[in-house]
Amino acid sequence: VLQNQKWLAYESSNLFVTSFLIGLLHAFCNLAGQFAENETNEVNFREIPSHVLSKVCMYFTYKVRYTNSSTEIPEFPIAPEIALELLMAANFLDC
Amino acid sequence: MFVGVFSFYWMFCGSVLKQRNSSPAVSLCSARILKQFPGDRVPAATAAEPPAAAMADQLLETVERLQSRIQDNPEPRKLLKTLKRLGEVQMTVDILVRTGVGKTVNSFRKHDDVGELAKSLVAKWKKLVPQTADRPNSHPKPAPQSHHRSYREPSPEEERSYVEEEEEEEMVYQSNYSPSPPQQQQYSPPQRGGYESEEYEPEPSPPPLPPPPLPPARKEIRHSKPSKNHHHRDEERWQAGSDRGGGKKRSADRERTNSPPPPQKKHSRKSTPHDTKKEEKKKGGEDARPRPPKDSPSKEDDDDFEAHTMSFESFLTYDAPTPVKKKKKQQPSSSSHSKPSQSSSGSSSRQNRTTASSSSSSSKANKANGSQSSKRSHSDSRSSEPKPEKRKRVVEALPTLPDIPLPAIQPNYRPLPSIDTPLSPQRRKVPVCNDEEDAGFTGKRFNSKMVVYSGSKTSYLPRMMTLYEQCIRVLQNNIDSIAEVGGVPFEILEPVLERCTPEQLYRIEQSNQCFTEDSDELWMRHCRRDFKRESPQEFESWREMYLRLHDEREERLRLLTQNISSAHANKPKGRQVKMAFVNSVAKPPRDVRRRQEKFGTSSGSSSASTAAASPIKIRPASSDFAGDSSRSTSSHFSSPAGSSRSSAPPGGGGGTVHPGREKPQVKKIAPMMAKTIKAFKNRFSRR
Repeated sequence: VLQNQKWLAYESSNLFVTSFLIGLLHAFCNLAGQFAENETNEVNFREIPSHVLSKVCMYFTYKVRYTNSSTEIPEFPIAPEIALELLMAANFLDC
Repeated sequence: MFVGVFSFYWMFCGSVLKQRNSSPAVSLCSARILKQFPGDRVPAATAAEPPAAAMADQLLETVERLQSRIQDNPEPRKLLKTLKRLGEVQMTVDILVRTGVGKTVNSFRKHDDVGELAKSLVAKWKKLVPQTADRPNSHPKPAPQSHHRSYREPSPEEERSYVEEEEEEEMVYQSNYSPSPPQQQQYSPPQRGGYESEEYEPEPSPPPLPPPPLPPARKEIRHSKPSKNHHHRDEERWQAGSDRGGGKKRSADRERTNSPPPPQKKHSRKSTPHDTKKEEKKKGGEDARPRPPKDSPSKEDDDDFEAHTMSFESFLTYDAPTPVKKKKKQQPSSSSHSKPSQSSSGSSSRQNRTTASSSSSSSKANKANGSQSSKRSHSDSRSSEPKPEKRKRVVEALPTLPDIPLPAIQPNYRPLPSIDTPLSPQRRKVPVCNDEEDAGFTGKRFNSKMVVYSGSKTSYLPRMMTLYEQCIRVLQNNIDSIAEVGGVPFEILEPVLERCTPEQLYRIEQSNQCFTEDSDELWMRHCRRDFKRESPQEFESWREMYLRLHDEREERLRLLTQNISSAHANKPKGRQVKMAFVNSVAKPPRDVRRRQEKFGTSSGSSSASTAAASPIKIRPASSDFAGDSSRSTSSHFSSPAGSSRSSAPPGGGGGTVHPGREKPQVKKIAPMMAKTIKAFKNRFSRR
């Protein structure tokens, strides 16, 4: 069952993701077809299930953490079961 | 060059002088002092003692002043100026020893602005210290903790040895930058209250002189050297004091902690002489000394002297792998604060953010981090116990370090635990002390621990991959699990499908018919690879062609297999019994036959045997034969091996000996047998 997911919920609880997501949101406002979120900073992804979206948020955290960092970059763990859906979401979000 | 000659001269004189009394070392006049005493440029050595002493003092003060200036003032311009001043000073070995300015300057060699100058200064000063290679105990290469040196030879050549020692000490101390200052080993060129004390008792803490603000003159290495002059006592006291004072400053330069300390301390302490011990007793309960008192009693019991001097090179290469304990202590406390750069805070924030399912994993990560930090702090406390006072000092004197707590360097370093901890391969690193084992690993390494790994190595990505790439990677690793892809378009999955074998591709196509249209290119590749010689038929897609060719190949294989298996099917299976003497009676072994002939016990006449040996065709089927034989000739025929005794004696013996008898029977003797018979006819005839 697809659920509406509030992007904002993730945003507020994670310092790292915030700045990253704001940029993303501006890019995605067209995709999602909702212009209202320019004010609210909120995007509803109707197509992306919640478990996938949470994984995407984790990926953002991982990306922010390891981009331009001197430590070695570990693999981002993805369960095979969600890999396909995550692939779709990644393709959709182009990230 | 004048100055150079002068310096050498003065050094020699200084050594002579030192022996006699406890006056401060003679040193060369500095440029400034020369100006003051213009007439003293060529003073006689003998007459120069009092003014030389005064000059030496002044010089020493100058150097000390400059040195403290360097240490207190990290400003590059001023550093540069001060270093230049130091360079102009006429440095002697003794001053270097006493003030430890060499070490101070050397600590700046990595500095942005003054590094070059510092390095050149140090090199210049090093040249002052001539190498003493001929001493038996000089410059030992092995690690300090293993080095024991007996320097107890009462050598008559005090002067020479003293000079050597001095220089050796000089080099040693100059090179001794790596061990951390808090170790605060008693410097002591040990007193040679002399020749009288055969054993040096360990002297854990320096004499109770109020520490002048001198930089540390010595590390533990130095004091281990034997000094044969009792007047060293003063120097030693002085330097011990300076050790303490300079310890603070030294700690500013290096963050190392006590990795070498315990062993080094042990060694160093052993080498101290009686006199210093006495002095130590005098001060009694002075615990401001950096040296922990608990070590001293243990050292006193040792009879061995350890005077280890590490050469400059070994010091440079000596690696202290232990982490910065002080930093570790700070880190667990700081980790509780939320700092974006801290890994633990990152994990904690992650914890807040993630959903319930992943919160457990991240809390695991947090726990792992916490356990890691607790482990660190535990090891920290362990190692810090021996030197509580030193720790304080170290903590106090950190003016130059930036405020950011650096991650501790530790052998158990693991990068950030990944988000889903159970999914990523964990790699545990177990440093194992490489003790000599009977099992046979004989590569004993002194300076490094043998590290043993268990588990697979955590692989790292070369660069930050996009989520898309990561997903593709995961899918490529799990092609067989791909069944129905849902609405995923072919283009997105193409990187995965490229890696499929034809079977996998076929299976996926079966589940997702929409791929069939687009996959022809892939099939073409498969065809090219597997059926190089074939070419597609008309109106045949690559896919069809591949399938066709594949089926043909399968069919051919199947046919071949069938043929072979049928060919093999006719052959008898299992163990077969073949009869050797089918047409004739079984032939007994030679000796049995002889005996049979001798005693006339050969069984059965030839006629009987031949009757039984009617030409029976040898049949491959053992079952038939067995049936026949059981019916007719079971008594005569038994298994080919060793049959003659048990069975009724056949007339086989007669057959060989009397070939003539066989002629009425259609008996054929093999040609080889015939030859043998002829050959042995003479031998075996009628015994």
